[in-house]
Amino acid sequence: MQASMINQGSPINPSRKAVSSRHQNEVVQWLEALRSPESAALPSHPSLLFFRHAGEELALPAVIVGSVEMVGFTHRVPHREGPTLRGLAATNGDLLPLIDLSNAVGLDPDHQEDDRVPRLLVLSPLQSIESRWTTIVDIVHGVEMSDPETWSTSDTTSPYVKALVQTPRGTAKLLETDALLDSLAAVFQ
Amino acid sequence: MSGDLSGFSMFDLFKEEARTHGEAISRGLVELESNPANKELIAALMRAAHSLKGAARIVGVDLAVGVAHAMEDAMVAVQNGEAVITPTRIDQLLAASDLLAQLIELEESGIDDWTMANVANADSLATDLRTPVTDAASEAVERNQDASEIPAEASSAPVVDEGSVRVTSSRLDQIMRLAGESLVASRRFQTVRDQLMMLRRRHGKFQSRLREARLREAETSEEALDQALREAARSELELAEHQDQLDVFLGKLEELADSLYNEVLGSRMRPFDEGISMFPRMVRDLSRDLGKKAILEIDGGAVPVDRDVLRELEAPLTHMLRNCVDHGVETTEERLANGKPEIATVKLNAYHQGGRLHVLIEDDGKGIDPEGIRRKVVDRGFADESVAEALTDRELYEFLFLPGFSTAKAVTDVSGRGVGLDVVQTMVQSMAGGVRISSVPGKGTTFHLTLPLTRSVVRALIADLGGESYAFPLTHIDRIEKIQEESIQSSENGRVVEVDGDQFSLLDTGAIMELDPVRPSRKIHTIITGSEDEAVALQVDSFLGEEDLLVRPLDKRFGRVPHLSSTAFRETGEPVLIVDVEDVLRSARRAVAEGAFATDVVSDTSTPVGPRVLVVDDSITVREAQRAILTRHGYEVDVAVDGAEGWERLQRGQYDLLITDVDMPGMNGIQFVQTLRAQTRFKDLPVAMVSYKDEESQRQEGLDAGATVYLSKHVINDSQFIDTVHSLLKHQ
Repeated sequence: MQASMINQGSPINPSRKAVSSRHQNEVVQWLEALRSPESAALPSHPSLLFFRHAGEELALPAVIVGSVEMVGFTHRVPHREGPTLRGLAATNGDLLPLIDLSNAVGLDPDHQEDDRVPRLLVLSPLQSIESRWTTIVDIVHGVEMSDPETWSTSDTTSPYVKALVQTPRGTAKLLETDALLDSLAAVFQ
Repeated sequence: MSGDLSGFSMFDLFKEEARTHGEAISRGLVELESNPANKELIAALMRAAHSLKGAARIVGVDLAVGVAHAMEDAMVAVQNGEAVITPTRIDQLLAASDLLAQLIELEESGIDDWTMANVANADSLATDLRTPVTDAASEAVERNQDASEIPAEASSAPVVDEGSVRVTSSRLDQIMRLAGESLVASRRFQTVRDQLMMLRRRHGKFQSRLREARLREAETSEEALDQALREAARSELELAEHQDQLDVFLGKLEELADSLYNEVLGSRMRPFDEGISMFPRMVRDLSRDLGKKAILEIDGGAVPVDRDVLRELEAPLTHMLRNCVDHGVETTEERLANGKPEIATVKLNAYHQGGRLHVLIEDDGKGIDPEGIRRKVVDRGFADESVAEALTDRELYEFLFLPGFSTAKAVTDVSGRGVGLDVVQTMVQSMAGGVRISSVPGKGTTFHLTLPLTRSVVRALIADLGGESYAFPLTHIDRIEKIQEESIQSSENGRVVEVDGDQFSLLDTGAIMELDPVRPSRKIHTIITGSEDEAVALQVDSFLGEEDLLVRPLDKRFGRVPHLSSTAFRETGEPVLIVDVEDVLRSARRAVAEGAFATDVVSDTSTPVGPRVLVVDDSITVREAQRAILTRHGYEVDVAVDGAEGWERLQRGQYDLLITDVDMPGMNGIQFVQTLRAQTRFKDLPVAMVSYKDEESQRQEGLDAGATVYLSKHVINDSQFIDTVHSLLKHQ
């Protein structure tokens, strides 16, 4: 039985898994720190979660990311499956809608990442169960603060890209949260 | 009343008391109207009014004190023989009861406003209640003189108060969740025990190997091998002891969890009576408004029902009872002319059977004329005459649940606006239940509801469909069978299998649920389900076992998903979707009746190679009928359930033709076609709009939106449909 234990693409090699696990802890700590009342008072540069998916370096504001998790069980939902809405993902005792980010924001859905370490992102824009989404991305790099002054908007043509952010890994596309959420909401309309 | 009431204000407690007494008063008054000399009932009503007065005084709602006092006085006057019960007096008392019932919905802060708004009404009611009523008094008493000699009904017999505990619903939900989790968790030990057993078996093999080695190896290793054997034997003994202990522990834990679960489940259960106390009054008032005479008889009032089910039952029962009185019950003149009692009887009966709650709503009215429905089916174009002629009465009654299908000649304020029974069916189905109609013209009509006893934990068969787990509640399963492929036969309506001398339609559950078709296999795994006279064999890929599942609702954003009732996690942590078997059966029956499913099964074996067509329709029957016809003619067909999904598929795939319905949830056909025509790449895509709406203005609206042709759904089974498809694709 397929059991939908998604681990698409190449298998995770043990050394990468260890690194990634450490990485994940850092991400979780970052997210916790960022959600604390103290951090809200900081006049800081926004923290962004950087990740790679469908061959693109991408970023999302860390405040809308509820958690980063190992990919667990997923399940299709009859009559509701579409290119963007893939079904349900199990996360911490909940079953949340699982979306294909490639389709949601117009990336290449057929791109195969060679060195894939898939992670489940739980997007939680309003901190309520009914606004939470999940998506599986190819590689999560981590959370970093970024100075908006350094962002470029001149080359962004996609409505889903808010700005281009320079990182040591290259240029990352910072996704436009509102457009992304509108796109997600549309899959149920 | 006992327990921790710290979470409730005095006003909360008053409201609860007002609700209890109010319901008793309302129900008692309706009963009193047909039995005005029932002294015990009068005394009970007087006490209820008295208690209500006292409670209102404590929370300082003076207006309510005055009204309840007047009600009490009116009852005392009857007790003392100074007044008699007449229909007018009953009306006055009911009006007073209604006024007091308004308090239940108020917040404490709204009392002053409520008082101001109702002073005049309350004064008037109190005055009326203290004014002697003489109209038809003697007639009322005489008419019911005999009744005074009849002992009080069972319903007014004293009820032993077992005491009650108040628990907030959120806390009860939490206890329920924990109890359910503990029940499920206890079953997980089964896995541990199985693992231990496996380990013990493996250990036995290890010993065997050692013995063999001892025989083969040189004598020098003999001592070491003996030692190893002794250790292995000791550890095996320990393992066996652990396993025995675990068995005992498992048994106790399971027993404990079962008890806990049953106790908590019991506390969730409420007597059926509690959710229907308003109905005798409703039937009484409604029949009077309509110039009819009807009473409601309740049987099974003590049957326990899950409080969620009870709450959700209120709306569908309200509608069905109104429907009975409005359409089922005849006028007094008609009844007398037909030799029936002047007063019609509507019966509401609840009972448990086969692990389900059954509710019957039965009237002794004029019944439903199946021929009237048959004519309407043809007139409205749902079927041609030959098909309609072959429909059984039961199949004809199913049409009454279609949106907008009503046999009422005149729309009334009460029901018959065409938005009734379909809504009832939707509500009942959303509770994982079903509703059926049976009727005998001239004798009456019965609505039969079947519902789950509880909606919290279900025991289910887990089956594999397309590599994922789906749960089929055991209450819907007759049995499961593994059938040899050779025993499948083909018939006009599709595949048939014979099990123990009975023949069943064999249906591909994967195809019905729009998943991958079931994988071919030498052994066919089937679930026999459905009522005795139309049981079917649902084919699945394999059986994965039986489990208790803690039911969770599906994320609300998915809306109502056909064929699914809820979700759960398996003992392994894997998610499982719980199948709404009734809904699957409904779809299967429709598909079989249309011949769509059977054709589809047959056509699965061929590989479509022709032009690619996208069919968008929210009705599975229509979708599958179109798919079957198109596939048979060599087209490759994809389907979508609404405009939004259709639009998604269209953007991703290459299609030569789009066939779309008009009325669909979310993005309808008109919006869908307008959206795609706004894109250059779809400017020339042929679009056939297909709808039951076939008036000229509706046709024009479809064409204006951008449809190439507009067809009536009535032609789907005609050559006109496929000819139009051929023609549209020829002009590509």
